[in-house]
Amino acid sequence: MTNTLWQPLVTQALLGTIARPFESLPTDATPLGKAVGAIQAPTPEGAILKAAALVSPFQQQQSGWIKRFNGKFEVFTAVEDLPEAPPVAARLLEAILRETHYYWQLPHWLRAGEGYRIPDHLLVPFLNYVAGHIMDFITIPPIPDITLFLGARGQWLAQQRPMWYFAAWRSDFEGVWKRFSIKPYFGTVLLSWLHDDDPQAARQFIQRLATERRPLLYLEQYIGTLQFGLSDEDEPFLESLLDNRTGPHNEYAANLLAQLPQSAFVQRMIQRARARLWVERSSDGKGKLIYVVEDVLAKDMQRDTLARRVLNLSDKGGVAYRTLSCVPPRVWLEHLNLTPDELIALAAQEKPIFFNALEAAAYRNHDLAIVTGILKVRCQGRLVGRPLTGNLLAILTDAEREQVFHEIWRWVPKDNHNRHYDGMAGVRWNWSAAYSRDMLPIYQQYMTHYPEARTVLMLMKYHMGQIHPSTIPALVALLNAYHPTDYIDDLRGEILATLQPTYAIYEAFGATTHDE
Amino acid sequence: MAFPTTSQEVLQFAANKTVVEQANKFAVQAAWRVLATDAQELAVWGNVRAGYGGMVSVQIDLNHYPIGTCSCTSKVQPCKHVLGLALLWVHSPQAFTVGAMPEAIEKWLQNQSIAPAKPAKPVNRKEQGKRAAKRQTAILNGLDELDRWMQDLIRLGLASTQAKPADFFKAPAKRLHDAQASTLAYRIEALYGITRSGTGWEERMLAELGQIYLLIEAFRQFEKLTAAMQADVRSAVGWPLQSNELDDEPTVSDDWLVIGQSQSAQRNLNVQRIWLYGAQTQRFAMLLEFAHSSKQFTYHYAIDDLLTADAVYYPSGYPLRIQFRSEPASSIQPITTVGAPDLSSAIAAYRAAKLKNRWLGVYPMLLDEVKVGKMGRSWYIVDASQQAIALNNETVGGWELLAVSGGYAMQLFGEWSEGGFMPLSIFHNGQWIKL
Repeated sequence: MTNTLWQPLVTQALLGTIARPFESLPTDATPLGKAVGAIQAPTPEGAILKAAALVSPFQQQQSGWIKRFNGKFEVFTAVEDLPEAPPVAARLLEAILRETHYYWQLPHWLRAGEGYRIPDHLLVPFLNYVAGHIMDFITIPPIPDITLFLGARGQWLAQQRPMWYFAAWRSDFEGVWKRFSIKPYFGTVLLSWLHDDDPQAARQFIQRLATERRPLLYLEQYIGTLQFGLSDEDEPFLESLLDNRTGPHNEYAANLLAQLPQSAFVQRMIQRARARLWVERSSDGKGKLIYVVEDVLAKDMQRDTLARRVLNLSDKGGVAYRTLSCVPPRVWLEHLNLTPDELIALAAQEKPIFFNALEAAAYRNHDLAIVTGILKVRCQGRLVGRPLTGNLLAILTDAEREQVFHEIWRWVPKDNHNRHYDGMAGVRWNWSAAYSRDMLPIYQQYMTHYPEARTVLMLMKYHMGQIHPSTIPALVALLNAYHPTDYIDDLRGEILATLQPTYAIYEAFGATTHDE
Repeated sequence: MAFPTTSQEVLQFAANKTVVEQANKFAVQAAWRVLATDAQELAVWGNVRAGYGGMVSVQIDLNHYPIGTCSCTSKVQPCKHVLGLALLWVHSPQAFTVGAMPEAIEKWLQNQSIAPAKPAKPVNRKEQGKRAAKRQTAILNGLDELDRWMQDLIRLGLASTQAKPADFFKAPAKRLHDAQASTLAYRIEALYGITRSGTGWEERMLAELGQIYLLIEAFRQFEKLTAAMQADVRSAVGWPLQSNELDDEPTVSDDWLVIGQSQSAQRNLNVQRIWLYGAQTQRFAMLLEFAHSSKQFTYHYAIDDLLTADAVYYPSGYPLRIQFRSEPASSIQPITTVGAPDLSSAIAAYRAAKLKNRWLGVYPMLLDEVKVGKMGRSWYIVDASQQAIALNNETVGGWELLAVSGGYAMQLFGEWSEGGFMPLSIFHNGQWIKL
């Protein structure tokens, strides 16, 4: 009906009255057409605008806001088996998802909310967040599989939208991998979930990736996901990776094999070390560690990645480091007939190769006596080298680490601030591993011993995601009683303001007690 | 609004991240020289060191957070000092000494209740009439200029506008701002978006120009219009009624359900609409607020809040906007909402409303028993007879609706405009939830 009026008006307006001189307004026999015909205006342009004002509402209504629906409805029919997160916890999650400022609280929310599902109205923002911020989910220890929080409805919803299909990884890992591993971080997270759920399946999957004709760029990162829960069952696969020399994959495999003391790889290294490592005594009885490196590396040595260069070491130095770092410290001690203190003292005298190799071996073999001795040497600054190695701390049990931490501040000379900083840097490296323990005594000791403990506050700030809730109330009290300089005071304010919402998350789930 | 219980709730009123970071620095007891509250905990106040070495005084109304004042010169409200003090109150209330409230703070506190509590200033009707006449003349002059600009567009042809930059539309908009017709100015600026809106843009452009032209013509015949139409025309050009012009309007006492909230931004101006549903009148009401991008809105109601208050509707052919005459009190009276049974009747009601107010922008639409469904790449709201209306593309998508409804029929509230339906809230598990 109105098209006969509307279209001529649109054409006239589109072309303009200069390009197409105006003759008259369109009319027809309808009341609207007659009304348009009766329009009077001093200019043709005014007449067109008046006519548009009159006709356009009818045109819009005619084009129709209401359509006939012939699409398909998706309906959720399953039964939820998880309770919904409490309302207060839901509000906090909403704030986290909407305010990226608090993104680091998400790991806390997920840890506290185990056994609950995300409320229905937050499923979309949550799934969008995971899809867009997968890097946030690569933490140590890994964030639990997020699909455990989706509930049946969340799973149902996620399957309907390609960008959320990652949630179907349990039922269709291949399909999810194909779609999401384009982002390597996504691949890493997917593999860590799979390895946590079914280590055998993860091994097989990574094995298959490794044997594909064109090695994947990020294969080494994926191999790294085996680190958590590494066992002797991983050995055959890792051993087979040593034959793959097209990339750094074999080196990653060698690193993991070196953490399995019973593996054939470690036994080969022990055999090589026994033949070429000894203590040379001078006439005054002082000892010196000697390791003689082969001039030409045999094929089996090359296969064991001994030919790979090590940063800042010569070719021969690299061979020595790689070999010795795979030899368990107890073998060093037996073979050289030394006590731990004697071995550490000898290693610290010589080139850093021995000390660093011993440190790596202690880390890989969880040798507490050697670890503690090495940490002490590093804290006292007797050996210039890397800062305190977080890896060493990572292998300790909670109780052992507690002991070492308590010792550290006594080892660090009070007048050597740099050493102190290095010591704390080591703690920082390992902070995430310290999530499960109560760090309060360490904070207390540092704040007492070093009134300007900026490093401690910096560490607290950067690792908010790992601070255990049971620590928070006492930590707040500690920070309130701490009176550093203005500069550090700013930092203290920031930490205080951020601790409270974290505590609130655990409170919302009724999980504020230490329940490891 | 009750005072927040978490830092996150405190900081939700921060204008930007920088303020958040700065506020955190003031969230420590050591930064404050004075920290105090009164025995009834009506307010907290404190003195804090300022960057230039002086002291600033900060006070917060605990019953109307984030209302607070600070003697600093920051244009951002609430400032870092107010937020810092609020954070401190949340996590370290023990740091505040309890004492007698200074007289100045007591006076300030008395003035914080919402508009009705303020003693009304005597209005000089003669002066007000003069000012109104002056403004009307200014707007008329602006509209005359706009009329010439629009006729030029038609003369040159709408096709020519597709190659024009945004500045082409900003120039006449600026003149309208100068003429104190800001709402219309924003509408002119939005024409640039229409030129880039794809297939059918020329029809949308002509329709919009036609509506603007109608508004110009209506304003030119302002004196001949009814009072309600005058109010609608004034609102459409950006000359809203003053509070004292509502004095003669009848009071509506009701229990109100906060059923929807939408926010949008026009350059550096934020606009908030809070939709209310009256239990007795079964009418919708809208609290409309404008705030500069560095300021906060003063209304902070949450969806599903229940309020008891006296209100007054702004005059209109189809009245929606209200102002509270008394400070709203919380109510526990549950309110049952009754929506349109199907989409035909909802659209028919919209058309009827549009006949009453030709310049009605957004229309509150409460729909019973509708589902969400996808047809092609678009989402639709569908009623029992398979009639469907499209979701507004700019808004919450169908996924959110599907997540909450599970694909079942739901009661839904949203804003309807000619661009489609924008869902704002959904009734789920016995309460209204914001989307």
